[in-house]
Amino acid sequence: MQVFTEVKDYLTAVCEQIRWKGARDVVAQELEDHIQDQAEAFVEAGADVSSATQKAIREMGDPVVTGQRLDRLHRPKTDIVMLVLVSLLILFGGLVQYLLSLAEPSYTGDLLSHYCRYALMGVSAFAAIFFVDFSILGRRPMVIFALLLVIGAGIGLFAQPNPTARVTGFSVALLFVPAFAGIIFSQRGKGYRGLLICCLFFVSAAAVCLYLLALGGLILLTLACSVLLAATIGRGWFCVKKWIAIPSVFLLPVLVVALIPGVGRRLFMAVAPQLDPTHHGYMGFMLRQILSGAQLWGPAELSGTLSGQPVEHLLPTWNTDFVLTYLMARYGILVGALLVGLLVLLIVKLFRAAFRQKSALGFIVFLSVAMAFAAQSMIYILNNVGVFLFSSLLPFLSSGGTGFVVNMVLLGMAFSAVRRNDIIRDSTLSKKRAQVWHLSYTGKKKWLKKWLGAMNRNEASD
Amino acid sequence: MAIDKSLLSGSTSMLLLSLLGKNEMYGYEMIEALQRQSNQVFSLQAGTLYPLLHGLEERGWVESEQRLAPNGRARKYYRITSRGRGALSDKKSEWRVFAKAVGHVLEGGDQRASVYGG
Repeated sequence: MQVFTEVKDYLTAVCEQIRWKGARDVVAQELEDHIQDQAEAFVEAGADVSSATQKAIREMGDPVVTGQRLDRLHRPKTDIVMLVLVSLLILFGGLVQYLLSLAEPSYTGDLLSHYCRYALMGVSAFAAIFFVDFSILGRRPMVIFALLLVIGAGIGLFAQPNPTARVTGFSVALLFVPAFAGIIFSQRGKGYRGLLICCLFFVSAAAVCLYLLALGGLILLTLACSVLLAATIGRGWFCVKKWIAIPSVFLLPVLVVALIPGVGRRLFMAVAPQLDPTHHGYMGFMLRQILSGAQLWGPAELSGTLSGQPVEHLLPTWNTDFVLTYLMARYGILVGALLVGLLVLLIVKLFRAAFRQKSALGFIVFLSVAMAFAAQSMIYILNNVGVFLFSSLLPFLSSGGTGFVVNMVLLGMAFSAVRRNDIIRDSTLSKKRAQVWHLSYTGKKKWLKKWLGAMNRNEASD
Repeated sequence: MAIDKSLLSGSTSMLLLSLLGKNEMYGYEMIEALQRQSNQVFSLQAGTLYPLLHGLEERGWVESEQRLAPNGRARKYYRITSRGRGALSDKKSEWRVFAKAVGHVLEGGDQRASVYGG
């Protein structure tokens, strides 16, 4: 039993030098595997287990020096550029609310103080999620997904037919995206069956969005989920024929769009709103008229009957669904371009960071956050230019407390993944493996008995 | 022959990248291969190897994946990335220049010194 203590002592001496506790298990596991490999080689060369293990530990070198070197390398990470971008967007979000409140003097103070309240809630949610281990998405995907289904159904039951259901439904759709990433992760290597299970989960989430009439949310969810599935099929996670599976996955958006009530009319009105400018085509027609008069800098110059009319009187929900159009019409295209540019920069950073993740879970969770941001922004922008009329959110910039907080939760997950990029290993998510390490590290020694038994048998057979 | 270890320091990363350039390997395998391929001249301690490997991973020159080895035990396999291959080729050229310069000094140093000195 002496050797077990010696291995444990060596690992403890290394780990004590590593200040970030989160990194200790992963480092110790690798060193422990090395000691076992080395000891096995000495046993094969004729040494007994005890002296083989002692010699293997000596061969490792000074544990304090090793620990100090590893300590310098393993620190929790933060993507500073991404953090600066998010902070800028939050500040600009406040500025946008201030500008909106200027249009209606009765709003002054209200919109901004409302924004400050939910920005504070959002930042707190971000901080809370940042310090939580995001790998729970890979360990308990079904529970998280089921919880969201229950929340979605609950909102439907208690908030219908209140429009709040639709708005909150969009936020639920946003949260479904990383939850779906967890489901994909849990179905890796399970072939067409795994793919089918993923599709069933998607259908259940889509049904909740449809029930809440959160059509923008449904489109966002469909877009994000089909891209996540296609990316993981492409990476060989499902071990299926890619040329069949990837095109099939992109049938999902087509099927979902076909299910949306009145989709034909909406699409037609997006193409030719001038055919019905006072009724169904009003928004599309008005948005095009306003944007055609927009200047690079300064207020838009509207022509014809619209000349001289304030934009906020022409566009219903100008201060929620059409903030971007309003800003471009009131202050110039450059203002809108600056805000969209910042957001695009953040989205590009999110995608790039996804491909730098070391673990499969880190990759899929990051990709889901990037997709959630990209899809909601794309739908919002297309809505604002009048070509795809579905409500959405422009992260940080459009109004709405729930959406803001949910987007901050998503970012919290992404930053948590960056922070733990060094230490999250897909195998460390295996319960059995984690238990083995826990037993060895806490000195229960069951695993070492097993290991010794195997080595003794080897010795006996020699 | 016992070799002064300081001769090796600085080049160890290049040797590790070179090993991984041929095959993906786990830590213990690398120490073994280094010893074997250098005719027992280079022996690297695990305490030196892992910080080096983690540093290479940090730079994006190698990537790792934990999976089951044929003996059923989970092992962390390292493989070189395309950025790592670029770095290896730079380090190789650097090494050739260095080795040539050392060779010149050791073998022709006196002659050159007399030329410059004269």
